[in-house]
Amino acid sequence: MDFRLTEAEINWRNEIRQFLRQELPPEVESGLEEADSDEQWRFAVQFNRKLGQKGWLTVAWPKEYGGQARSFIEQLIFNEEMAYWRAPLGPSSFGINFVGPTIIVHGTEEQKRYHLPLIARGEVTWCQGFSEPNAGSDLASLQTRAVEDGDYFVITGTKIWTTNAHRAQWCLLGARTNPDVPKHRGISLFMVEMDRPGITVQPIYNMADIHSFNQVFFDGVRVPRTNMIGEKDRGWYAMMTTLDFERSGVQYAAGGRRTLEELVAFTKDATRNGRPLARDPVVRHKLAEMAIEVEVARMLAYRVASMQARGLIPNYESSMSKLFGTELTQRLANTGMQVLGLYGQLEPKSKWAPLKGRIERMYLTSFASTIAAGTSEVQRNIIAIRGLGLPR
Amino acid sequence: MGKDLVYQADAILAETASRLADLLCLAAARLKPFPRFPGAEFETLEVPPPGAGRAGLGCVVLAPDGKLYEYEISLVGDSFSPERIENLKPLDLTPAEFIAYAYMALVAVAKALEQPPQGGSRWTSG
Repeated sequence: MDFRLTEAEINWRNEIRQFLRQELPPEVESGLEEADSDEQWRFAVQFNRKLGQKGWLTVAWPKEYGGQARSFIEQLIFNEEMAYWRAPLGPSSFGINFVGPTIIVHGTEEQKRYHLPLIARGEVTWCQGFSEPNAGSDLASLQTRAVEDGDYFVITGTKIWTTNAHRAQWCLLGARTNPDVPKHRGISLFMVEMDRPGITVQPIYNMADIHSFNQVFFDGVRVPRTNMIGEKDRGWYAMMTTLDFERSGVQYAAGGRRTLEELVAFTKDATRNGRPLARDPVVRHKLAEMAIEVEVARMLAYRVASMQARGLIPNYESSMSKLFGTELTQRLANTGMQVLGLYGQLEPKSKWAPLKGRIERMYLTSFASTIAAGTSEVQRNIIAIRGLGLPR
Repeated sequence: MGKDLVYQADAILAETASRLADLLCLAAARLKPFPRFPGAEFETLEVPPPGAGRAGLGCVVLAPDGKLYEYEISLVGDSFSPERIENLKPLDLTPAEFIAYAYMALVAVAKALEQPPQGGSRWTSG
């Protein structure tokens, strides 16, 4: 494997870095989530619009739909830099990565004309309406109903773990339009404006006391037929066939590298029992271990992107990268807690919190990282079956 | 008294299911390249539901190993990178159910063999 970048790719990385250095002030660099406060959210929205103006929200989209059709390696570079600089992409992420590509492949010309430019410019926030309290995240098992009524569908049901539902203007929602066929054949996709009568959003606070998840209730919500994406009852197939994007998991390595650099800088300044922390052999060895792991995570991610660039479809290699990357995040948070000592437990709002409280925040939120992107158990099973050839 | 008839019927079903399973493996090996939903992680051929299909089953597929699975997809992930997770869930079918699905799978293979290969074929890793 040769991961050397071309001159054009190095220039691309430098261009992104220069922009991010200029646009992200220190309080955003602190890595606090954009969902934390209205102020942070507003900043994130403005930042996303600037990315949109440069065409950088849609680096992976085809050119005919306003994208830049960047190569997998260029996408990897972009994602790596965004993660390293802790760029707040929450307002656009779901629209860019799921809604836009679904509309591109399955939408009508009118849907493309209206929605794609808004998404590409970062002028709209979408949330996902797939996970349900009684169905888990399995798309074919969802129970929310959509019943035809003239030119409308009437939607009734509940969605859960809906990130940013309280801030989103639109929701991409899966609902059952035919209960009398095999379960994956009776689902349709709808674009629902979040201010429609009958929608109630209830907050769910996570362990770090951050409100980004919600439970959303749809009580007889009328949605025009023109807001259905693709054919009726074919929503499962629509979600199955999406565009191919870079999916290396490089963000875990990039975010980890940034945290490691900050921990190293901290140990150079801080003292314990009158001695610089950086001279403590236990601390030094722990940080050295983390440096190795960050590099391993990066190489695993580069391998995935490099396979995609060669027209291969990574399978267990993606799982290795994701599994190692997400568990690395947890190990780094643990290491950070040990290095910072009791001060590590202070929240971001405390003026005494080292590294602006990021380690405390990282420690609490990292528990979800081995669940959110597919549990570690699922990833290990994929590696066992597809990588090692063990029986299912 | 009449239970022996049921035992015999069960034995015939089990034997038929076993023979169809063997035939399915041979049939799957003839699909080159093996089909795939565009953009999907796994190479699979969708098996249309038989009339007497099991209620509650989702998308049943034939995989290159000649076995039948349920193709599951989930949308999960944090705000930075929403992910589509795909999984092939092994099926636990009775012999009678297996016969129905295996027949539909063989019809699907025959149909796929008659169709010219689709453009833009992809390769799996490893």
